[in-house]
Amino acid sequence: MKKLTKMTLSQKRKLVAATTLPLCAVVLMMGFQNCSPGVVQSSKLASTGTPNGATGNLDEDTKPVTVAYSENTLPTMQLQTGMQTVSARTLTAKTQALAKITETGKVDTLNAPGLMAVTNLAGEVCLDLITEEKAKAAGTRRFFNQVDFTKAPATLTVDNKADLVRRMSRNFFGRNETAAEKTLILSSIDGAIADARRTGVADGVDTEDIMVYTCAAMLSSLDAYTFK
Amino acid sequence: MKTSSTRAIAGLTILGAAAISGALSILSASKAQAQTTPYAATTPDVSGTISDERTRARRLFEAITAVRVPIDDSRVIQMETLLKAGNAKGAVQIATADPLFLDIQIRDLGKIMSTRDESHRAPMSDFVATLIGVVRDSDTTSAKQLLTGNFYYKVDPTIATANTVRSVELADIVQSNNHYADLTARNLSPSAVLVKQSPQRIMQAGVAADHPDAAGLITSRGFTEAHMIAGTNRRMVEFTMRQFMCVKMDAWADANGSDERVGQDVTRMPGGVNNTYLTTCKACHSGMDGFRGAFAFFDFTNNAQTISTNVVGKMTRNATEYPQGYRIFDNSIINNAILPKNADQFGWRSSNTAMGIAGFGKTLADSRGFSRCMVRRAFTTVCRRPPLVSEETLVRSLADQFETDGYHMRRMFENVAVQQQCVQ
Repeated sequence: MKKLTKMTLSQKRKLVAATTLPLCAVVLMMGFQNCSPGVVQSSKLASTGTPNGATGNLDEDTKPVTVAYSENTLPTMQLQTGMQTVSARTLTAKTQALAKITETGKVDTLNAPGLMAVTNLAGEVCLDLITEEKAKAAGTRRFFNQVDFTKAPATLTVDNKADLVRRMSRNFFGRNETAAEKTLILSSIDGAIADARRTGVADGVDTEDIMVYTCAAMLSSLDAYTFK
Repeated sequence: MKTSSTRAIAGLTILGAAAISGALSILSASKAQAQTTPYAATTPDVSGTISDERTRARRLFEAITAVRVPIDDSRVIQMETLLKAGNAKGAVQIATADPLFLDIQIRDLGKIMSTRDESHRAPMSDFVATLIGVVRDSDTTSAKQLLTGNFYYKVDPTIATANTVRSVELADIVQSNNHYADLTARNLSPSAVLVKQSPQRIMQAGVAADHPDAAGLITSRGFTEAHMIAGTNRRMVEFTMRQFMCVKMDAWADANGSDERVGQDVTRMPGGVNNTYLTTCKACHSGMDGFRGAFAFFDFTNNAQTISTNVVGKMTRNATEYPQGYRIFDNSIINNAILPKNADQFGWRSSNTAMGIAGFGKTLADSRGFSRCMVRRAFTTVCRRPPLVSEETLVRSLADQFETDGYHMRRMFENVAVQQQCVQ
């Protein structure tokens, strides 16, 4: 991907870390509790299947958890970002991702290649989103109202960044971000800004790269494509 | 006529033509927009409060459509208002009225049901399109027609032409999946572009002909390509029961059933032991072979579902294995899944004998098992888990309501979604 390839190694590592760490946490939380496919449930459910697919018990305090599967991942991202159409490049990324993203959406089918494929697809969708929003007046944008794509990223204030995080959180996560998430994401953006002081690169390009980074990290985090 | 009058008339004519042209282009643009699945652009309300009802509305919308949605989406806000007013059913109806319900959720349910792999990755096909069409047209089309109807859904010819969707009947619909592959490739919204087409078509003696024994999705090209190709047509029975009665073979196998219809190709002495046949082989073949005769004249060859005037060869192959076994000579069926093991789970309500695929489809469609299966499929799809054993009463109650509602698929999905056990 053109824009992602422009990222520094440090930025790429952060992007991977931002998306894989939540996955690891979920796997650790659920992976060793005898999850039946797609359902977080107690171990006593093992082998209690009945002829017509009914299961035996479901603990009162457990709820089904699934993630977007290969076929509804891009539609989910399109609705979250409000992109009616996506670029040919994104469609190619989707085609390449189909075989890697979980086929069923069951939690126990999540794996690293699938996660990377979702991240890659999110990067492309975010690039489409930024291309669309850059062409609009700042006040009419959905996400990047307070971002000046002609200036260096260091000019972004804490409020500017917080506004961006809030907007993406509401559209991608379906809720407001928590205080801990806000601290983590702002810190991550600041780290990316610190790494982005490249010589010979226009200020706006750095800003755009950091917006792709932030958007892709949030759009491909598990909370953005988990159904619970 | 005065020059000024002529000019006025000419001016009015041009203006009128321009107005008509403008209106047509707007109509055309809006039609083109309506032909793709709509993804609304939601501007986040950064300081908006999120009520419990808003969160539940979001979850309901996501459960119904299988797509994550922004919390400030206008449909979610409408649903929130209805939930606050205690109208959960009304809230869910907003979600089921959305194209995403058909274009994503029902499409993917159809894909799972249409192929041997039971995968979301299956291609769009006449099976998937017809399921979408029947759910969309629930107000006028009973779900029983999924197993009895003599129709299929295809892209509206005008839209197909405008979007270069290949639509030659024999080449692109009967003998290949081109038509439906193009529907996907052109990024068209199935819910917006599909129209009902009757009757079903099949290949007979190398040309397209009306299907003489149509049975809804069972005789769709997609389903027969998956299960009628090669083999002995037993897979058609196995997967019809699996998809529309929600039972895998071992769940309805009954060694106490009659083996009067078990074919000649089934050995009665596997490994030299008759008891193995009696306790194992017969259990599946009793029910399966009883229904298999429905497909006596059908095969899937040359990329198409074909019909023959005689019983097709694969129905009588390996006859020397046990010559005293049943030899199919017509398309009659006998329902052997009527003993206590199966009586309750299927709840048959029609004769134990019938003719052809249409008779087989009607036998299933009339049963309580079909209604319950549709509820189970909706429950598993929307609630993201199969119903529990302890929820069997709920399943049966929803199935009864489904029948009372005239087998209305969309309403049944709504009834499932509002259950406390489903989306919280």
